[in-house]
Amino acid sequence: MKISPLRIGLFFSFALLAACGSDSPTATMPTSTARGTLVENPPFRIASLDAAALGAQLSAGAFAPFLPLTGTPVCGVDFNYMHYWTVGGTGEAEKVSGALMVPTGSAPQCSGPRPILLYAHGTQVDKTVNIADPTNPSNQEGVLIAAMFAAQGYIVVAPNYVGYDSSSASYHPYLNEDAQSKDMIDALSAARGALGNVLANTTTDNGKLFITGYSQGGYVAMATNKAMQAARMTVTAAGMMSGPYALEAFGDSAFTGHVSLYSTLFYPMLATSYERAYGNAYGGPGATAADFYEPAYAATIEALLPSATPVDGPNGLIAQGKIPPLALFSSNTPVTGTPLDAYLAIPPLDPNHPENAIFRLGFGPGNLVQNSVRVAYVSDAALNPDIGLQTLSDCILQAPDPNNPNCTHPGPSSYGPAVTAPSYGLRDDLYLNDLRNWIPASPLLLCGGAQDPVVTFPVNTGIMSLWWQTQGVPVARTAAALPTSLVAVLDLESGLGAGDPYAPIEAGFQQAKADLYASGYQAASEAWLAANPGDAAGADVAGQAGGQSAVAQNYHQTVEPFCQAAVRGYFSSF
Amino acid sequence: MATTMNTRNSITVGVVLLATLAGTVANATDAYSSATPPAFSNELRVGVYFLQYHVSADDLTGPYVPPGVNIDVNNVSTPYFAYTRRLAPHWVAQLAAGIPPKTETVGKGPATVGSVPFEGQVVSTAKWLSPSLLVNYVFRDEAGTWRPYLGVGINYTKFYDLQSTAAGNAANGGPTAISLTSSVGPVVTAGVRWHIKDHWSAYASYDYAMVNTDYTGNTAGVIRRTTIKFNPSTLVLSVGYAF
Repeated sequence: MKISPLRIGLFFSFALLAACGSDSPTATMPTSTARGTLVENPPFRIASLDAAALGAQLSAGAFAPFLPLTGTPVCGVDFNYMHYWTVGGTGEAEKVSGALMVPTGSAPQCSGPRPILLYAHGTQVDKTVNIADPTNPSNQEGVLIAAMFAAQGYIVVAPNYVGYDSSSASYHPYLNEDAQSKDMIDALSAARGALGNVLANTTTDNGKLFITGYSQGGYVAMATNKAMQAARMTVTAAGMMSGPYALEAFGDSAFTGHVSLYSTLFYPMLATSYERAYGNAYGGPGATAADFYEPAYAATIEALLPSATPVDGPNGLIAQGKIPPLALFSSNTPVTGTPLDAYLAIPPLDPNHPENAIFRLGFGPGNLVQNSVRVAYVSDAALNPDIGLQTLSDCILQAPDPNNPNCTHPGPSSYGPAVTAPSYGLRDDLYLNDLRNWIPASPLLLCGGAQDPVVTFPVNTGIMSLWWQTQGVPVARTAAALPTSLVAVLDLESGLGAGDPYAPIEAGFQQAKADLYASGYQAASEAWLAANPGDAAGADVAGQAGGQSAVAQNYHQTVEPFCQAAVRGYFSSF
Repeated sequence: MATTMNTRNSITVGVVLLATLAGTVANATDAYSSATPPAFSNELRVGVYFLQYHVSADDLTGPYVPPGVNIDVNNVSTPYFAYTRRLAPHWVAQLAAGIPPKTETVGKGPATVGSVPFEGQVVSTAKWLSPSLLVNYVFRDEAGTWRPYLGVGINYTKFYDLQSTAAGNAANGGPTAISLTSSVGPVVTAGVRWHIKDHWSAYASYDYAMVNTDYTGNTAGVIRRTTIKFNPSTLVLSVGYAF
């Protein structure tokens, strides 16, 4: 037997050629950019935590105080990180990301056919947060919904939104009804395409669809409910929390002096979003950021938020002078010599309206928005008022005005928006995105706290629900009315009266507020005593102010877990 | 025993034969010490590679990788083939390769990634085509029965048929495509030849190769990387047929 060296060489060459075989496949990557198309299917799973590991993580961290509210995890959770295609503020294709949280484990509610919960997150100034990532301590909202819903057997779908996380968009279509509702629906489509392909493939869609969201996400959830209803998609029930639903009323309220807390963060995102979508947010066609913002901010603020740079802290955007902390408007309010001046003034301190103390913080030196913008906006509002805000002011917030018939005989338009489309750009954009043009057809809970200084409750939850009532929608404000009402309104401050199923949640919320007050009081009084030894009376005054400040600063986000618990309870009956 | 051996079974018995031969070293040495070696220039060898990996890898880097995630490789054995060519009385060129073995990569580091078992799990498999070309210096006279040798050369390693296992997919977060870059590195050998009879010799050697590769895992577009030094040491037992 002779084998020539040549043949040996051929053997090795052949083996080398054979070696160029294919590697094992990863996810398939469809090339379509059609709405709702997954970029990778199955999507990447960031983490898989069983119920015990998730429980351990929750009880070990800052989340621990919320565990009694969410309950110990029954299910494990697979945190899948979807990329999918949706559209931005002008209908442009956008590749975005979001979470698909899938319950896992042996308990009966953790696999098999399960309901889907579509969640819209609140305003996030941090561009980098990924709601699908439980390993990021900044992602508190993602962990909360995992514990509240996914660990109790809901499949949770939550978009990160255009302009966040891996999205390459240079802006976020903030409170853009059309774009944001499409993003939610596209996340749902993507998630339904991924279920069955993900590693936890024994959990499937049982056809029930719940929508919820908080703050900005409360608005987005309602916009999504509206869009899905129009498209005849199933919505089993919805729960909107602390959202700005009556956008025109909310905008009019701010421009007439009721500046809610953190408005210097919200208004730049809002103006940028509407400028991109409609081209008129700075006053009209042709107007620029320089016509809207004070010169100190005009050059950079349009592209500032959301940002990878923190807002607060020694190197934050506020410290850099890119954005003022609270002063949306100038404390030198414009004087026109007309009746408008009453609406342009800083709201006075008023024992009957303690919220004015918060609104006054929105005025100061180094303000963000020019006085001329206020005058133009308020002039438009005076000529063509938001009826709902007017009724609220005349009939509810103050002693009822006997000259306003809406106070005694509210009719179909008593809580409606302006009678005709506003002429001033930004106000017209708010009118366009105001949700007082939708009547729900499926059960819905509005949850919030009446003293919310960030998204004011009376102007949003109040006007929205009152408008529905004037449209003939049964709205429950008591436990007794719950069984017969399509809509329920839960104010964590006042509850639903006798038989209130949410009473323990409301009690927990009051306790959380008391805890905030106590820690704020202690910090401020101790600081006072350190500077003024022995001045117990002064320390008490300082402590009270510190306590009130701590409650005000944290009120809005403190509402969230309690309203989520209420929403979960509401959903459990469907 | 040597007189009953034939070509067919000598090629097929491999390790068993060599183990048996080891017990008859003394007799064989006596029998062939004075024989005149045939002037063969070519030889084919067949035997077994016993691969021991000395893995040293950087911790895996990339998105969503907990600290300390590393890998190890299970040892493996595989049939061995070589062709040698006599260049000069003390110089032999050798081209050697094994049937590409399927190696198993196991997780090393945390017991779990999230709640997914990791440490000790077989996370991926790969086949190695790993030929080496060596030049050996063979000591002592060509007619000698026992001839130790030292060699140095170059190893080329190509990885193929890379598969992430179900356990690997679970730890990585989904179906994972793995790639390992090919490696070119030095190889050294130290061995001994025992001339059995006529065409036939037996060999035992110890090889050490430097095999470095860049690992890339792609899980739904999420890329993780590391650099791995496999640096296998190899015990080779073989029989050769010269012609």
